[in-house]
Amino acid sequence: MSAQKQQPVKLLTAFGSPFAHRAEVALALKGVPYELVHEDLDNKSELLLRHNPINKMVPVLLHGDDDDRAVCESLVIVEYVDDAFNGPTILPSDPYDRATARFWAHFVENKLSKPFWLSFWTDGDVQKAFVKEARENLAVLEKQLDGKRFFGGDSLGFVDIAASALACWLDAMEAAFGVGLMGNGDDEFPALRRWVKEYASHEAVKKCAPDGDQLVAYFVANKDKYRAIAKGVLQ
Amino acid sequence: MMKRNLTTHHSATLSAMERQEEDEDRVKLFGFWSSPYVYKVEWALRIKGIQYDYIEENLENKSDQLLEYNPVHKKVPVLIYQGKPIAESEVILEFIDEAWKHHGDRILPEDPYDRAMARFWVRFGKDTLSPPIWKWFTTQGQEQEAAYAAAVEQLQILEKELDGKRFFAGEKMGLVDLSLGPFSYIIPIYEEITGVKLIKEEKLPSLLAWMDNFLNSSIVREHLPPMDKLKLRCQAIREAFLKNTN
Repeated sequence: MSAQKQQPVKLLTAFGSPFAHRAEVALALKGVPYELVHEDLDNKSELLLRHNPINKMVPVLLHGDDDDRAVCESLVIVEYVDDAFNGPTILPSDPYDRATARFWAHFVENKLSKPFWLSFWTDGDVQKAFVKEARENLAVLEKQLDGKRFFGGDSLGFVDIAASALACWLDAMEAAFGVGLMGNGDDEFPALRRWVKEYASHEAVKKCAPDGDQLVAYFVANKDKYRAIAKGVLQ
Repeated sequence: MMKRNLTTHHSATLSAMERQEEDEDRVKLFGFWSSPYVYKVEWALRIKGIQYDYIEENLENKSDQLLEYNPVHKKVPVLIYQGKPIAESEVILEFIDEAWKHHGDRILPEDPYDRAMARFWVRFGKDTLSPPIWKWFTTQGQEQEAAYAAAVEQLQILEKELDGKRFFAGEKMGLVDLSLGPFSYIIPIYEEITGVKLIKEEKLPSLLAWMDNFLNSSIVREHLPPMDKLKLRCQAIREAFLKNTN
């Protein structure tokens, strides 16, 4: 039987999903060969429903000769990729530094994510409140970045991957929904702006980042769907 | 037996510098008596046999120290390790397992896939199971009935995962047990207050047994919140929520 690390890897993904992107970047960073399986989220495959019966969402990582290991939840997948394969480390090795990385990834997930997305998919006063909250949390991230190249320091790591939507989705969302989140002046969030460029130009990211124009087109075409999702979340 | 040291302690025989070094090296935990997140961390420290100083916070009047150590969330628990803070209970639990890898039992498994599964179930508990349980406890009428049904649905998923095991991690408790552990005493309190049973033997026998296993484990039974006080607090919370929606 082949060594675990060399067994095939499949990633169930869908265009436009920033969560699937996180998982893909992790694989690309580690240099793990993988097969992409594109899902139509309006018509989910039997493979997806079998391997993620609870949440029925992408990404799902399948590892093994018989897809016997299925890992769900983007950041769980990223940690799995870091644990299971050799290659550049995604999380640092020191326990305290790892805790710091996890803390900031949680911050992005739990404090930034919701106002970030809902800034684009709502309107009126509700939207104004989300924009305010998102910008406050972006300011916290700006401070945390503190002139470093990446959140992890010199190399792209866990927090950078967690925050990847800021780098790869923000422009498209601003264009598709006509909302300026990071502001227009270059003096606003200078560290984050620099980080966006660093992230987007990283070798591993270039391999799997979605095409900007295609992303805009996708969100313009699916505006109503995402506005409905926002309404659902707010109930 | 594990002891918490309330407030810091100084030894009269050490020099001032040694005292400061020793003080910085002492593990500290900022907490609140009713916070389930704090208890998860305390149980983890006990699994590892780590002595720590406990500082009880008044959440209505947070200390300068807490605000300095956790400026982003301003919440407990915060663990202080060699003078440096770590916040967020899930982050702290993984830290405790890694920083004291060779002390006591492992909290997370070794195998990467098993670790991923543990992390998945922790998220499930937090994102999918907790919200309907909380909603069930803080609402009434139709809204409560809908939340109850949703909670039972998620509990059935958990029941299937547990599948008669003593703990989610197997023979000994692990990350998922610690993470879900507070439910073992919180759900019975909620059931008492609402007068409705959420975890019924006929439907969720493994979970019912797990709650017992967890509460009676040597780690947990020696360190639980004061139940009468907690019940009063929960009652007040439910009343406040019901009042707000009327």
